[in-house]
Amino acid sequence: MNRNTTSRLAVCCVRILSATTIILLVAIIGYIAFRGLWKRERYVSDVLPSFSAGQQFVLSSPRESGLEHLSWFALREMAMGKVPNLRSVTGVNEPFSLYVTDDSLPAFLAAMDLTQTQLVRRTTLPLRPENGSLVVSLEAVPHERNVRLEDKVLAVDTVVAALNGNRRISLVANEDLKRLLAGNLRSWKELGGPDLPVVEAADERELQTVRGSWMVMDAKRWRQLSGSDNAPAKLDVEGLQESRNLSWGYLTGRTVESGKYGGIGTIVVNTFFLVLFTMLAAMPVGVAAALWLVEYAKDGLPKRCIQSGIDILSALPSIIFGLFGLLVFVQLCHWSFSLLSGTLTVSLMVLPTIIRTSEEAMREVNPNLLEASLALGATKMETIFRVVLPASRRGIVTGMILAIGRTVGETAALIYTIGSGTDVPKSLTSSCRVLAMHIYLTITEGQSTDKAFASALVLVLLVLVINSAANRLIHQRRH
Amino acid sequence: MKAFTVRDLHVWYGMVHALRDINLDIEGHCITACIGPSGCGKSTFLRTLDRMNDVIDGVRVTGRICFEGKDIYKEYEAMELRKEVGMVFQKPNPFPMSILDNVAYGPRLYAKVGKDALMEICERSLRQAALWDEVKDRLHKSALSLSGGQQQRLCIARTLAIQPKVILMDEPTSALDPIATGRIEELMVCLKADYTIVVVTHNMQQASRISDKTCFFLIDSQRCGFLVESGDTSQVFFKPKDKRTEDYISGKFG
Repeated sequence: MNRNTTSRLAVCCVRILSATTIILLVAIIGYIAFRGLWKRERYVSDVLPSFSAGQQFVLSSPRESGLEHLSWFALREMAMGKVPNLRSVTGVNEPFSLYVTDDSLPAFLAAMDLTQTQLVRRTTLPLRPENGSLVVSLEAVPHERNVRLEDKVLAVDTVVAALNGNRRISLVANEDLKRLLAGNLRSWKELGGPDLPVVEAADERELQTVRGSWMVMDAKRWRQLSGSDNAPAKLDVEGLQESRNLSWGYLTGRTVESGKYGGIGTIVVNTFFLVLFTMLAAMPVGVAAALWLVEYAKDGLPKRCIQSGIDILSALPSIIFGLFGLLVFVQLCHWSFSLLSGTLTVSLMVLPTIIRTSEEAMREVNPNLLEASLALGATKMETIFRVVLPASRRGIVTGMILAIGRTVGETAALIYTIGSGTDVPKSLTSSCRVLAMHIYLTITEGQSTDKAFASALVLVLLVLVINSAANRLIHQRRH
Repeated sequence: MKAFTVRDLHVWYGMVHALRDINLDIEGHCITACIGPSGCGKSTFLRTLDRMNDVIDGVRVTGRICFEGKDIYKEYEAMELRKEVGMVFQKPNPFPMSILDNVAYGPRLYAKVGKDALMEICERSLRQAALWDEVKDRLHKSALSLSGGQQQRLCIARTLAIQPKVILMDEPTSALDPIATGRIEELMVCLKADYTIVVVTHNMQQASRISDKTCFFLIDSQRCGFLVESGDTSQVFFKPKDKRTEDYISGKFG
């Protein structure tokens, strides 16, 4: 092999490696962005999704309830007072109350197939409905979310849903439903049911007499029929629902149920608070320490000890800082889980980074400039403030960006120090979670990967914005 | 009138004896050139005159240096002295700021300067340094955009802005091309009327061209610098009292 071939091979390797890196980066960021923007939820419904007959009344509910659409059967249960808490419906821990205005009452009772004695409701609508309320009225309630009522079922001939051998059709997947509705399904066997041809029934009589027939009918009618002979069965629908994940509502909303529902508005604000206070605490100390190390400290054992101490601290896993914060700030100082404890813990954690980068930047300042300044009669302090700091500005700001990056992304140091309150802190001693913590808690407590990805996307964008803003800042000052 | 009187000056860097037994008078309003081979302590001597050696660790100075009759180590603060005795370095070292800010750096240290006063100082200093015409349209541009020669003249202007009485120059033209060198030399001759100039140079022609007085330094067997002879430039160059001066000037060593 001659040298030319070797060098070509080397270039080839470098190209392949860099291409791999780029592909990996794009894949990671692309995946986070995709999952952050789109969510796919698996659901099982006893009614056909997105099928609703024209109602004479409107359902509305505050955003906090998590209600977007309701199945007819669920609403009937709720109307009969069998649902004390929304936890069983949407997972939101809010006591449920149903308001039905008098003018919408007849239409509601008729649609729900209820008598007035069966209905458990409240009539006087409060100024601001509580979080777990559902309002039935003729006109939509302003500022509240409209809830869609889904009230069509897939009714089938009893035999289709009956036990056949050891198997039965229990759920119909969304794709199969589409094939059924489009008329592309030949036999129920394809869905694991009996070997019967699929027939679309024209009316109820046909549904009850023709083997293998099906039709889409009102839930109310299906319920009325279900007592009679030859009553049709219904098939539940299972599917993946794709919808937008990250929305304006998510960005600005309050957090509900540790992140399972609601948004992250307050948490973004908390993150900014943490970054702001951390920088206020760590930057002056860090820059001053770097100045002392560069300009004042005499070479010798103490300086070497301090420098290697800083190096050790910067390599320390952040959970150790978290532990320190827990023992000192939370317990010893009695500041409890609070913004103050969290800020100080993270400040300690980013301090070595700030000191190291600032120190390097200051060391790189041309010593001739210091001489020039001193020769003009400046004192050492004047020289530092007028020459050293401006000349090392870029390095100091770079250190700050690194520190902000670590602060925004920090979880371990905060778990035991900042607490998990979801509101904007009222004082330095109130607990408040930040974005990275929120992602962790959303997965462990809120159990929603979709929401976690939405938060992750916001975090990625936040870091991007901070970095580009800082870069622009440096660039502007340079000219 | 004498600007500096130096008596029995010794300088040590830690254990190294860098200069020994210097006795010298430096006349006001003329150019004094310090010549000699590398490492003979010319620069050390120059830096002692405005106490720039103070910032180096382990420096020890004995003897007596008087500036206008006052002992610079006893009767002056270093900052005060450096306001009277400016210094221009070998390598042009403008601050990474605008041209205007560079010139204004010194005056701003001593007083709050208004915008108009600042422009006035700036124009006067730049004119004195023969740089005004070249930079008057771009005072707010970075000083680093200037050429090497222009940068050095800016450094001179920056020193002139604090209105010192003496300007020390440490090989001010060694990093410049002959044309830029020529301009700086012209400038030095012009400045002689108002300022006392002490210049360290390796360039014999330069010393003989521009200086009025010359002092010749040499290094002894212990690598310690000492003054061989000093006097009028014409006398040192053409009728040297010491054999070693004659050898050096005629190019036999160094």
